[in-house]
Amino acid sequence: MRALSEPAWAEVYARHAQQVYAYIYYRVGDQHTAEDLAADVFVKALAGINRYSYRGTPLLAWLYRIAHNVTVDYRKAAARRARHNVAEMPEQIEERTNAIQAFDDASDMMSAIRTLTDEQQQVVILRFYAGMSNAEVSRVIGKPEGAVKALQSRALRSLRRALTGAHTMRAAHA
Amino acid sequence: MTRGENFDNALNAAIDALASGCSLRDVLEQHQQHAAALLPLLQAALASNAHARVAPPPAPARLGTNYSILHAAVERAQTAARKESIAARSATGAPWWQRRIAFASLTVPLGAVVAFAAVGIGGAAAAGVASSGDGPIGSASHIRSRVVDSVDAVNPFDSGHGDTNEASRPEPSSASGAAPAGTSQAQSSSTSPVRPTDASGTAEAHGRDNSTTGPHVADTVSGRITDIHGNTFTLTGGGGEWHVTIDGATRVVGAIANGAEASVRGAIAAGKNVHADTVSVIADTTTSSGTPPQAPVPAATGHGDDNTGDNSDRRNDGVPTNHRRDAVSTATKAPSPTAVVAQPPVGDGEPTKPVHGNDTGNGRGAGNDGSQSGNGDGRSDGADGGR
Repeated sequence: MRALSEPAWAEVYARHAQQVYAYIYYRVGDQHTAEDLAADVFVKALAGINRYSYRGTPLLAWLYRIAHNVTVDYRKAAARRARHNVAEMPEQIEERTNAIQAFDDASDMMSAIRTLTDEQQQVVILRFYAGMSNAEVSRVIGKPEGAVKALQSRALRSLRRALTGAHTMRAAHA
Repeated sequence: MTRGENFDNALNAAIDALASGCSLRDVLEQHQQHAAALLPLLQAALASNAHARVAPPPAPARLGTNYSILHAAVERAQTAARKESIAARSATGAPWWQRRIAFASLTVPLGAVVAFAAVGIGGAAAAGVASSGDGPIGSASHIRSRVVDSVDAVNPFDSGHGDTNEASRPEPSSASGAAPAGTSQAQSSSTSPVRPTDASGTAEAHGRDNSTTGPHVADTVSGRITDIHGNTFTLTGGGGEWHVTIDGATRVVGAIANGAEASVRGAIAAGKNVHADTVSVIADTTTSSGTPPQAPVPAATGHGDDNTGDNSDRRNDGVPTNHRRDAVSTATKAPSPTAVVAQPPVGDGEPTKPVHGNDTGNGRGAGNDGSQSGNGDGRSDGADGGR
């Protein structure tokens, strides 16, 4: 019952909500969606608090893991909706794509991050945005440090390519 | 260690060095063999890091609002956890002392109820025997008389009793339907008046409903007046005799005469002696018909069944139950002369104010027949007829 005490959760929320929100925001690129998903993260954490026990993994790492799962679920659902919409309203999708393209031009890094795989995104965001060490990232994503290093390497290559491609494309348009 | 692993380690070390404040040039110098490959990746890492500082995510506008989601979720989880805890405890079996307490909490009040009921039944039986004084018939008659409510409902001369009728109307149930049967029956058993079988006067000893008031000595008896001596007379009927005493405080409606049917309300002492508060003379059968009065015939059931379908004394105005008790009291104590006028059934569906003593409802045949439903306004006055 102590795990369900409201003051404890208020403190957890106050301490980590912003970090969870930022992590999700960099992955989905939308403020309101990120806020909603961040709230989902804490609700899921509450539901699964009985499964959490401290074994070297801090609570924030556990929250990041939930945030990752929430984000992946969101993306899958968004992809399903997009496929459904493509079949029904191609004109509107084309307009939306153009809008997204315009948005990506304004924020190359955000769009470049979203070209990464989920795991690569995790590593990049946790490593360079959340400022975690390699060991901490490995605890969050549940992979060995060597695997995290490899992921980090591939993620940075992909990121470099995406940034270069975006820069080149923008230069060509200009 | 493979070449790739070497590179990954070098990259990781370079990133850590940058994070610790080293310059890019210094880092590349430290990893000269991978410098060419490291440079673009380190630039991407620096760009990401710079992006995080330069373009932080927009300030969340709804994190505070979203906490209410978490707050609600916490409450739900707490409730669910409590339920699970209780269920688990009951499933696994509580300690013996908890079961003992639970058992006692159930049995002690139950025992008290049983004991109270036993005392009440014994007392009522004893009172019945004592009041009749003439064996089982008298006792049964008296007890039966307590089940039905008295001539109050039918005495055309007693305005106060008419008020009682008024007070015993069924409670309005709703704007759309008849009163629920349970409600109606409950009211009937406690307050519904009972009409005698016919005008010739069934000498039935009626008593107040005992279901709500408990054993009492104040009661109503009816029968034929005989043996008038001064301020006393004998009332014969219902298988018993009552010696009635009147005094200056007694309200007398009609003329007391030998052979007349009358109902007497008052305090019954020693089972037979009635100190009358009210004497209502219904009819002088001896003088009107010239024939000797008929032997008293008990009502068919004495439980209110005889008035089924003939709630002529009722009005269908749907007085709330909580007003009725007061109305009974008022009617008994403060009758009005105007109450002798029979009132037609109202049943207009209008909510009515609490019953006052001036209201009537004593007119036989003036009310509805008990099968009507009050113009469909849901205020049926009870086809149950006082059952």
